[in-house]
Amino acid sequence: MAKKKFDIGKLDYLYIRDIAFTYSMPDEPDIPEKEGNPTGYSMEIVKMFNMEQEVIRLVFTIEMETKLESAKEIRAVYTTEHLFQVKGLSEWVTKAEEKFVVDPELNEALTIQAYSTARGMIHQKFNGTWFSDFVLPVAKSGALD
Amino acid sequence: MASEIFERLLKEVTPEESQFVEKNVAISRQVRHILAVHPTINSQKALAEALGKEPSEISKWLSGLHNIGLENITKMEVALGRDIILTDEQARERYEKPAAGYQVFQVSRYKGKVDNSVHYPGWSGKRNITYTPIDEKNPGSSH
Repeated sequence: MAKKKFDIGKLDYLYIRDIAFTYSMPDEPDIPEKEGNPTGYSMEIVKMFNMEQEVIRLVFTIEMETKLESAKEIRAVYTTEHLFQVKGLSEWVTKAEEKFVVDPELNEALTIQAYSTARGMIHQKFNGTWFSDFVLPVAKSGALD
Repeated sequence: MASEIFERLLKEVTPEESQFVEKNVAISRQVRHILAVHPTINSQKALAEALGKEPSEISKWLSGLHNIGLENITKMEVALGRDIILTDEQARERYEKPAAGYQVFQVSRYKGKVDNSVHYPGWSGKRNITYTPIDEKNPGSSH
């Protein structure tokens, strides 16, 4: 029997909100003109579900940094929360070896939606800061799961 | 000449003084950020009123140079109903703990790199930005 394919129409974006934001810049007189980009960054995506409510929650955190010549750093951390309703969620979650596994197509759809939304939120949030030009790269299919 | 004097003065700043100012400025920024989004206490004047202080006193606290003190920080936290400072442990407890009724099924981490030497003609701010997975774990039913 052919494997059932997840219908993206069963996915609703319930809400998006900021959870935390910090931005620290050393106070020193010789900071050069702002470049608009970090030199490095890291991301974390935490995914969780509530089976009773049929919702999946993604917590997306990005941390950016730029090292100055003085060895000091400009740093920022931004966390956003993304909540999705998935009708019939139990059909798409299995348990194997004490681990929960979400259908790969549903998982990817969630990641892509949240990641793309976070890209815009990050760009807006960092407007006017050292990281104002930063744009998250386009994610290749499956590369974020 | 002025820059020489400045350089000399800068060298006289101890690491403790530097750290003190950095922390104070971070606290000041955090308070200003909370004021910017607070539904009722949305200015230094409103904060002064809530604390029964003169606005000049609050202005001094938020200058980044004044030793605010833990007692005054706590007073501001109570008035604003928000934490101004959190230890690393408190922050993890608050933000990393899954909400009640939720089951974590995946945690993915990625390390990104920005190559600032790559310029896109006509787009001054655009650089080559990439990422790679650095860690991935499935916490399973332990959470």
